[in-house]
Amino acid sequence: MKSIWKFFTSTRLAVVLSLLITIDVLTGTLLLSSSPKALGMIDLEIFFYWLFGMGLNNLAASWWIFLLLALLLLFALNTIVCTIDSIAFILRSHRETARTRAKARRILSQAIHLGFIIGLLGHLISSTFGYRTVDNRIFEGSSIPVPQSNELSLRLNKLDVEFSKNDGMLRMDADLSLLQDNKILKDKVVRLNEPLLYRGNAVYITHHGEAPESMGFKLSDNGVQEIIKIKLHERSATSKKGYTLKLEQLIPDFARDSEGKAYSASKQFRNPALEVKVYKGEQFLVSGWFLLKSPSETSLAFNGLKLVFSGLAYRPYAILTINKDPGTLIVLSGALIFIISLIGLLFIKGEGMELVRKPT
Amino acid sequence: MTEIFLWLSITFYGAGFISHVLTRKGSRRVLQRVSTYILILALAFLTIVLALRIMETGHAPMAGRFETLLFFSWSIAVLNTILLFRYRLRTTDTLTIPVIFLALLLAAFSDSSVYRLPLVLKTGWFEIHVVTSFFAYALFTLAAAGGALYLLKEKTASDTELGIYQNITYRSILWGFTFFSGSMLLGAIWGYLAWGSYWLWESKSAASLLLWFYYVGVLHTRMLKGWRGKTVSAMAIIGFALVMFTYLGVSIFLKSSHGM
Repeated sequence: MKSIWKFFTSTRLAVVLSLLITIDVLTGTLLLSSSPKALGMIDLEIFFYWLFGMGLNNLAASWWIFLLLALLLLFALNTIVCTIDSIAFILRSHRETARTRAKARRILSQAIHLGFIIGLLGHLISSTFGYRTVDNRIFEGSSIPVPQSNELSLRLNKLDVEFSKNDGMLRMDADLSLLQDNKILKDKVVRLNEPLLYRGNAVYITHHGEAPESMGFKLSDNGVQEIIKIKLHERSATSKKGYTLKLEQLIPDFARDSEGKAYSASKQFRNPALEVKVYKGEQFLVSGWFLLKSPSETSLAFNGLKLVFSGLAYRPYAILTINKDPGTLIVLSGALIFIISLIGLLFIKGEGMELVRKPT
Repeated sequence: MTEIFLWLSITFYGAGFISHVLTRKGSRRVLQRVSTYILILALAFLTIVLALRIMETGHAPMAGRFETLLFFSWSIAVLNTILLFRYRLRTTDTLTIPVIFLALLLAAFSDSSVYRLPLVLKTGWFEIHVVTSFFAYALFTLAAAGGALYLLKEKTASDTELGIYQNITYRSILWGFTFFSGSMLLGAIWGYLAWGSYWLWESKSAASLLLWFYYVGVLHTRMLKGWRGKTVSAMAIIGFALVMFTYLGVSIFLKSSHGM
């Protein structure tokens, strides 16, 4: 037991492990760039889920990560044992008349070790717990549930995007509300570099866009014209003249068979077409197909009634990344302790390296 | 205008190096003074180049190879000047001035177009992350210069002189490591605020990790008597190669979401 302890207190071990980690990560740096298929998904999941899933299935590209973990484990043990040993020494010798500078140097060195261990512990928590979700689409005015939370939901109140011809995107602001049982817990305008943070949950805006929400049709009946908006499979509101429209179906690649029956030639949106049914009250009047790629060429006429496709109505949406990482604060705290102690060490005089020349 | 001052700076660094070599061979005070003034002027021109570029782009010089090479050169030049005025030390110029000269020459032949900074990069966290990492690179370069001088003069120089080279190497690595660790922390905070993760598994971040562990190893050699002197000096030079790999190699030869 004593010899194992002594082995792990070795500074030589720390140097050798550091250099082995360097070589391992150097190989990993090259593999990360050359194996995007195998390693490209690594940041989209909690690390250990990825490692024991995709990582194990792609050992040719991920072996260095397993080796890194083994080396890091040894390095962490080395640091912990060294720190315990040194703290015991500091406590034993605190009454001795060691120079203040030497004492401060010892304490700061151990604080650096402690910061590293705390950071590593935080990273272990980050790699095991929490969740990561990407591509959460939320439409303006609507809500989506927060993943892995039964009670929380997010509402996009307003999306504000500003472009400039010369400078590209100037602003991408999503006014979000975090809700619990329809009560607002937090309001925040989420921007790039400014996420919504709430009890470990973090919401980021990554992209934005517009999706067709409904279709518009120009309906004219004996000189009276109006625009009617409808959603797929839904019935429109009643027009002034008492008509309602229903979008019956959408076909991605419109074609007709030998009997003139409509069907889709493929699943690709090569020639999308909409079937629209017209009602007056509850009475079905007529139905027809509208080709979306050539809307001006298709129309529907029936007893003085004319229906023309006037275009799509779009609704803005934001794409959100929603994460929960319980280890982040611990990692950052460890790193802060590490750096503050390191800065302290910089200002202690005599922290030089005395010359050692081998005899010739 | 930027180009004129850039070429002036390159010319003065070239002249500064020649005068420095001549000064090393002889010991004429006048030549020493002239050489110092030339290098101060070269730094002044380089500072003007940086200032003009900042005014032109509206952000810190960190977007693209042209700007980062300018800032890298400027960081080393500032450190050199600190060494000169604080310690009256110019021996490291033998290696640092050629690095500045080559980096500026590479900048002169790089694409200097002004690119829009993406919205995600328009944050103070990113600016300070880049600035601290380039100061770290500059300090690691200085450490390599100290290491190279130790190895070159090991048999001829006095113990005092060799002690100075060792001290330059070790202190530069300690300061560089502090700046680099700070840069990694700032990058982690920015990464968390920008895309929800303080760490990304991509080439540049991995290269930074390897550099960090490498210098952890080098700093620990201080406690191993057999590793000091020659070994530490050689490690400082290898460290400079790793710095170049992390800074330029990854960006030029590998795919990385970090870019330049």
